[in-house]
Amino acid sequence: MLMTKSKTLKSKASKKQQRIAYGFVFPYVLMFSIFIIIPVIVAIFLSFTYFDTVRSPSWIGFDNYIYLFTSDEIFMQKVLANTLKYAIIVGPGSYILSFILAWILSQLTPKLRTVLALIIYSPSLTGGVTMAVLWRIIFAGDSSGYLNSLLLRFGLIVEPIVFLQSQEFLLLIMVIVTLWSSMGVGFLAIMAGILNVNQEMYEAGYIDGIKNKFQEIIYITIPSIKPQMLFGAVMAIVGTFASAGIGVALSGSNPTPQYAGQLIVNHIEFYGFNKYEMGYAAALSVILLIFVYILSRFAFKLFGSKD
Amino acid sequence: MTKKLFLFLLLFFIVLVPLSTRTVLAKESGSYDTEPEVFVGDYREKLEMWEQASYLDTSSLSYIIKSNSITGGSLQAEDDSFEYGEQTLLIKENDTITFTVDISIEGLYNFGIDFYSLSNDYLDMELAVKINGELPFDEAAQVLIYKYWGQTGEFGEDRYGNDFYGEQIQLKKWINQDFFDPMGLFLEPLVFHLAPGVQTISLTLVKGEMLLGNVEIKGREELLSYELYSQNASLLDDEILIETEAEIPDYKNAPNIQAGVSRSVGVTPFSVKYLKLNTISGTSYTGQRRMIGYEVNLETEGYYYLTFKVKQSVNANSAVFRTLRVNNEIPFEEASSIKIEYSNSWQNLTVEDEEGNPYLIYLDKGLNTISLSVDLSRYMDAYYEIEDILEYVNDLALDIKKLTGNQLDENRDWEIIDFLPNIVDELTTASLSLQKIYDNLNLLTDTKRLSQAASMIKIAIRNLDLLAEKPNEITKNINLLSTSQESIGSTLRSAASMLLDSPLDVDKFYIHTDVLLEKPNGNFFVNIWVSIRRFFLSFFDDRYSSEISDEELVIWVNRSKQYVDLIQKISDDQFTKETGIKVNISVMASEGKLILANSAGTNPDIAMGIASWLPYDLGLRGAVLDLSEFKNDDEFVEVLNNYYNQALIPLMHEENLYGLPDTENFYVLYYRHDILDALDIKIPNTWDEVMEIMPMLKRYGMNFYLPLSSATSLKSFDSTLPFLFQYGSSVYDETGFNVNLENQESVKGIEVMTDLYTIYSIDTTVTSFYNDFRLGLSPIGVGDFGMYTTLLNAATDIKGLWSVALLPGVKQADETIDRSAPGALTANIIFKNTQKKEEAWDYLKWWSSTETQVRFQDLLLSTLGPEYLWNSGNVEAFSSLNINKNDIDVILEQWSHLKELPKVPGSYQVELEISNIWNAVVLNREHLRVLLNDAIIRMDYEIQRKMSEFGYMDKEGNILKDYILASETTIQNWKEDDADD
Repeated sequence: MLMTKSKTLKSKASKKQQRIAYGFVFPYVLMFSIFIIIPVIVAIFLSFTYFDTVRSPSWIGFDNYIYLFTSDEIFMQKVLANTLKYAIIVGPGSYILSFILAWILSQLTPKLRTVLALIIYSPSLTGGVTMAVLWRIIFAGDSSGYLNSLLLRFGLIVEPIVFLQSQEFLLLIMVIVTLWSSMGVGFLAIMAGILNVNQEMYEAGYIDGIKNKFQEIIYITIPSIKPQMLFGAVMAIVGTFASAGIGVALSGSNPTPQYAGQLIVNHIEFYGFNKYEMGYAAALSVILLIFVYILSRFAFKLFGSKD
Repeated sequence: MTKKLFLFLLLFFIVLVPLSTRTVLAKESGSYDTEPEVFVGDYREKLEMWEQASYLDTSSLSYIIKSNSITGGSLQAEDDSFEYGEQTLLIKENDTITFTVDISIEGLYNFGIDFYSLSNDYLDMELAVKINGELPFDEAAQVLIYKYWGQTGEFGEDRYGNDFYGEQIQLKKWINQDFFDPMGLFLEPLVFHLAPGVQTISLTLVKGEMLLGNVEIKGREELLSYELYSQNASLLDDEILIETEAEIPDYKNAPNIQAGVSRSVGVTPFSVKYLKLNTISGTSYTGQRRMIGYEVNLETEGYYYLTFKVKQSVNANSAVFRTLRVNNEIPFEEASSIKIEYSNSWQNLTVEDEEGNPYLIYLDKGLNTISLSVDLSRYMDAYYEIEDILEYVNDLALDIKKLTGNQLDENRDWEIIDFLPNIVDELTTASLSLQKIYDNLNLLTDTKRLSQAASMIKIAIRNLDLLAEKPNEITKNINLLSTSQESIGSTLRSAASMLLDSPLDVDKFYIHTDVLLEKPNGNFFVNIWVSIRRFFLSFFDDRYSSEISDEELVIWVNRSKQYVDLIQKISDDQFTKETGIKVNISVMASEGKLILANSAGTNPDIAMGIASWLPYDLGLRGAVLDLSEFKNDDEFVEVLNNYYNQALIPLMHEENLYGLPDTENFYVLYYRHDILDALDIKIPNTWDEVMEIMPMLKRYGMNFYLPLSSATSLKSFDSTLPFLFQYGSSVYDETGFNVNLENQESVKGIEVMTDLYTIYSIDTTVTSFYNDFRLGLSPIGVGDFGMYTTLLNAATDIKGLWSVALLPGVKQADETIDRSAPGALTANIIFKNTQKKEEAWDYLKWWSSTETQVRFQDLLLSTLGPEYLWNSGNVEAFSSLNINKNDIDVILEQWSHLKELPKVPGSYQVELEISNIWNAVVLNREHLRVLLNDAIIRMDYEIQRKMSEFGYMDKEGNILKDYILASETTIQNWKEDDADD
């Protein structure tokens, strides 16, 4: 009897506490709903409609998805292939690169580290698309382009290569530019993680038989910074898909020449704003959302805490 | 005998053939009209020669030639002569008048005329002077006669309380003017040498129209020195201070000398909150002999001091000069070249000698005129010297290229000295004379810092020395000569144009005796206080808070604020006044917003200046009003007649008209006649001829530019359609459901488009045609209206060296040349959901009328300056645009070849696929026909998918209803329907 009373008292108190907690969460939930959840729901709804932005949407069931999987040859042949290629290189690439750079920086003295970290971090601040202006000069297709000029001077090529309009080079250049600007928040988080690893762990590790830096990384550093690694991985995945504007910025047109650098986001924009098919664009976005979700699950599997 | 004949014939051909090709060239390009046919030597050299001959003093001589003793032109009665008091002569463009004068003493003479301008454009008039049938020197072919300009009333105010530019009007009155050199480099009027006895002198009016009064030929006069001028002169005893604001000159000799805004404390009129037009803007008051003049009323005659409140803050570290005239005469020699030093703040510049003693200047009782005109004479020697070196450098670069060809081989060595033995001496001489110019330029100003021109010259000197040091490596360093941004050629060209630039801001001037003048700049604390107030006032700017009332017609314009302000202004002044309909015009953030605004229901009534493809896309989906609804309006046809029928095609969907053209683009051929002449290249008329000149251009490392080479990877219809049209492709079949590109004509068109790159090696990408054109890397190429404006206003370094010609085309069976090209640029639309349909239509009618368009383009030029050329879609309005007559003729002729592609749903796919074909053939060397076959399937598929979206087809591909391709027939029917009524 007494026990039950104390239990109800306790639960009352905790309910009050919970209410306060909800109060604190409320602003975030509100914002999150307005700017994320509702748009996602609307997009899912629109993906089942025909919507040309001028007239009101009309319901067409799964037609958009059927077209996507059966008739959109550009999507299947080029866009999907490009996106996968791009994602596989840039996603893990930028992730591994940020880890390596973060680890190297953590070995340096604090002052030098701060300066270098700022330098490495800054490209992601300016954003790849704005910096495309700079890259366009480097890769310009006439002999006034920096790269072409250098290659010509060393006699490696006879006439300038049209890097940014060529099928062979555009995707590669997109990868280079994105990698260059991918040392963002994920990189900072990983670096912060590495710096916060308890130094005594390393000492203990050496007593237990760790022989070199590599083992140090595998057995101590990475397990200690799993949360940061997870954060970095998610940021890398999302960043990879969001930085899609770079191909368009580099080549100067959407679609990119011969769809050489066409990624899903470009495809969505092309359908939404050039062809006025918002319904289909929404269907594509839903596919993209599923893509990103699956990959983030994968990242959780790798680095998420078990409990 | 036969041998002699043969020799004679051979000689004949050798002499004649080059001559005849030259004349053909000159005729076709049509650009030589303004230049003398034969170069007779420049004025500078002639003058030097005459001065050495030391003729007798002629200063007291003067011959007045009355208009009734002149032959040519048509004599006007005294009553028709605008109160000249005598008979006058009416001279029209290209009229030549001739008179004789009996000269008593051989010597040097100046010419002057009385004239009354009858031409209404914004350009200076031009005279060519011949003595006994010959041009005395090159400059005499282009004597500029300046019109005088004023402003109607004070400045107006816009709806936010800021000052608004006044309208410029030509002052129609009798003006006495001497003949000056066209560049404005000489201080004194042009000097002509006349032999004794009867001389026949003829004047040809190359540009303009005027009434001519007396012609005066007077002996060359020296200016009085101040010492002589001020003998027995003494300052007035009274304390007199007369202040005159400068921002509205009573007369000026160019309409684009503009008032400007200075927000500095101390400049009058001053306002903390509003933008006041309170100065003469220096950037507009610059260059050749530009003059501002003021009328001042005085109560006492006598000697005064003159102080101008001025600022020269544009050309860093260089001084500018002005000539002072009082009552149309330079009072004494020292006043002919007044120096104004560079400074970031305003200065009170008293006309004074080097020790700081103010000069005494005599002014009459009553009306006096005081004027300041740009004086470039101090930079004359430097300018001419630089021009000579430039010519040498260009010749040298061409010589070397002729020698080595366009080779990039770094490893090949040349013994240049064997071919050009004097090269080291020549380069060193050039470098030394530049060094002299450089030193002199630095002496001209008090500051130790380098002016821009001087630092440019410094770079050129360094490069010249570099080349002179290693003459045999000149082939490797050929870029240093003429074809890079840092080359001697382009640095010197920039330096030369900088020398001719001499901006000066003027706030006001004082006529005064020994009194204390106000300080030119406000003191420190006042400045701080004003800044604080301005900061807080910026939170309450009316522009962002004014509410739109329901009665107003809301218009969004996709142009910059300057345009929008002017459109608002003339709408308020004219449209609202005439119709009573209020208009609110605002800047559109971006075109993309239009679609979103439309789906949110917050769209305006009218959108102007939007991309020309947008009306079709919006109209197809029912967002835009079909203007053919108004076909019963009497003025409907009148509106359509403003445009070429073809210009309306892109705005039509079937038989609906979804908008009206606003501006039109055009593609013409731009070429550098200096370079093409030197290489003896003819202006190509067809693509075949372009192919013929390519090897020649390539040999000198030069390039032909096509819009296909732009750095944007999507080759738009603008760049691909000319080829398809000209070779006879219609792109779509007559139903509009399929493309029609399999035929011979289309394939040929695409083939030529790619062959020019794959076989004739036009450069695939050119980052900037404008730069390459200036540097001479692409001395010829196809460009649009934007290129024209840029060349006209920014490329001062190649001024007069380029011309335009018709777009190359394809020779047809009947020997005519098809030069078809599209040109749609921007359009105006009315939204369907507008509540003010009739008012909106009235507005578009008013806006598209020739009268409004002409007024608007004139207003743009006169208030914002020559950079603001308006390429109106209204043909008649465009043809009265004030640009070079030859250029406008070429552009108008090209415009008559306008051809547009009717739109079908899904046409973007066609544009894209053609672009991709070009890309794959040119860059990957893939096979055209294979690509084309695949592309056609995709194009047809997309068109039909879109057709079924809009109910022309069902899902199975059966045609439900016919699609009518937009055609001129529909437009013609509208026009004829109206004629029947």
